[in-house]
Amino acid sequence: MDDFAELVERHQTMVFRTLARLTGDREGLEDLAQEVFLRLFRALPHFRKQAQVGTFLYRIIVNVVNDEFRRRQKARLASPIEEEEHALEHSAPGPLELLEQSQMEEAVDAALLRLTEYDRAILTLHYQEDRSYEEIAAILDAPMGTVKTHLYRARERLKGMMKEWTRPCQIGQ
Amino acid sequence: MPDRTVDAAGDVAMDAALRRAPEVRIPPHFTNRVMASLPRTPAAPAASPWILPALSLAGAATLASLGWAALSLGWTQWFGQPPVLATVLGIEAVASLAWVWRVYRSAR
Repeated sequence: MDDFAELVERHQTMVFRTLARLTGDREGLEDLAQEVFLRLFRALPHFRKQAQVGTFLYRIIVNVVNDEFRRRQKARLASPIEEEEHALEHSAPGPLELLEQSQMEEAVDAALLRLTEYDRAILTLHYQEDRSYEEIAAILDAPMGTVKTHLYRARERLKGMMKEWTRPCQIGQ
Repeated sequence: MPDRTVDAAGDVAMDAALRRAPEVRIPPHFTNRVMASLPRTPAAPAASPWILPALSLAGAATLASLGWAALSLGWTQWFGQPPVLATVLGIEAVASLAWVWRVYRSAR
């Protein structure tokens, strides 16, 4: 048990920051992080290689985020249309406003949320978490070629979105 | 003509933003909360290694007895009829496709 507490201490920052990037939220990540560690705890008896806990933890994070997005999607579908419209009217500032405020990071975060969960995970693992292609392939259980292709396409898509959003700013200047 | 310098600068800024980890606040006593939420009973041990071979053996024995029964009751001729054969193959194809679809969905 003490060993597991140590494991939580060691990995909690990584878990929170990866969850933050993948969900686009900064607050309210505690429940998701707790779910990540709970799943890790349940899986540990079947897990021998301690050296690979980090890789395994990333895989759990990606799965927890996928489940969370599925849950949110179901909740959105179940909510009445009026509520949906209301939510859209009062949504966070759009990417254009964010760029105008020179908030590149927020703009990238907003653009990331428009990508698929899979592409977002690949970009986050590669850039933010500095994982190698091999590690990402192991985390996502995908061939390395697929990871490279998705990484390239996701980056291009992100770049395209950023360009698209900056164009009206340039015209306006 | 597109300004490549602007493009490159945008790329660098975008990559830097991607590399920068978001600032997060870890709630105090998070570790305690996680430890308190863990199940008290130990996790179930992994399935015994003999279960899979035993199930395969049981499946093979069932198939063998069905085959023996079919031979002794003369069902082979009945299965040889084109409509019966087509029906059986159709059912098998649908079952296989459903299984492939299920595996594909669970892998995504």
